[in-house]
Amino acid sequence: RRELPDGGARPNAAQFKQLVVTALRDLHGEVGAALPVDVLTYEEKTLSAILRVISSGLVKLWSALTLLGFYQNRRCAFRVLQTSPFLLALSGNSRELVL
Amino acid sequence: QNILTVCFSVGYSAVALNHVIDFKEKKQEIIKPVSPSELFPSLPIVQGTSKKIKVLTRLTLVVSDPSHCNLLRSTSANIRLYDIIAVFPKTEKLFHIACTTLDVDLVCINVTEKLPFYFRRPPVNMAIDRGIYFELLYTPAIKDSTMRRYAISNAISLMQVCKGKNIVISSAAERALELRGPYDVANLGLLFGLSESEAKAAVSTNCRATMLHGETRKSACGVVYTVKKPRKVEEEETAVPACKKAKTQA
Repeated sequence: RRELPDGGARPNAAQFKQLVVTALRDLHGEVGAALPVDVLTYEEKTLSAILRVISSGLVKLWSALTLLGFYQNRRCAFRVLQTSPFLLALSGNSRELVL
Repeated sequence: QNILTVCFSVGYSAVALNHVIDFKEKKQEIIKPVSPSELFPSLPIVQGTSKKIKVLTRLTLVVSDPSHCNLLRSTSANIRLYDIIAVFPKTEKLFHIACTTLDVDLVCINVTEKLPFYFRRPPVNMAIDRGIYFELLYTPAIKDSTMRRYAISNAISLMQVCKGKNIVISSAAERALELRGPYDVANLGLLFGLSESEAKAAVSTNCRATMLHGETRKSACGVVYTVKKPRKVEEEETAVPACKKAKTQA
């Protein structure tokens, strides 16, 4: 799950996907931009999304998102909240489990 | 101050505030560091544990001349107030001196331009033996694409010499939006050529070792730090279950 704290712009779902692909292309070139990434959900209110990528492409995607600095000439930051191979695991925070 | 609030919300357990001193102007006075208690009336708690977040102070010296190093041996009381001391060498000789004889905790590696010197193995190995860590910054990589290339190329050449040991990755963030979470930064370590465990260590255990090295330097003897291993799951950045004994400074 990723959260986008922005300066003020609000991308919609298609622009968000375009942003992710641009980030990949800036860092890893055409090969990176060709990496199949799916946006599973996108909430425009909180600017957070759930992305899906093949496991071998996780490092590339994550590093590309981390190093993205600008969106429409505005500073932005991607904040990765959770990564897991299972969708169900994204609903809870395993560090705050009370046993 | 806003930056610090963001840090805490993202999950760091200790932050060091940096103060850079450049020696191009003459007669620089080392000023007293800002005490962390002035910034926050009460420090917030690390998420997941019940300890407070530590805020340390750190001094970076940009040295381009061997005479600047004399400042480190001076008896200026203000230097002792800083927890961590880092040096930023600009020439090969200074890099050699910093790794072998200078009394510092971190050696900063320039990421914003092409390095004028190549790393050689003897001074790097001596630095590793002495417990000095090499620092890489990642904020330039976010700002500018040319700086990104220099950052990655310098980091990779450092990796080839030191084989990934003793690396600390830190941010020179000037704004809250330039900060990235600890796991994101560990992922960047993978880009620089570290292995997965080394990348995670670069954010957590190596930083903690640097803090302890700074304490050693302040106390002029050794530091023994023992931590009991807790039973529940804990965050990476806090207590590493080990008995850490730093080397004595002869």
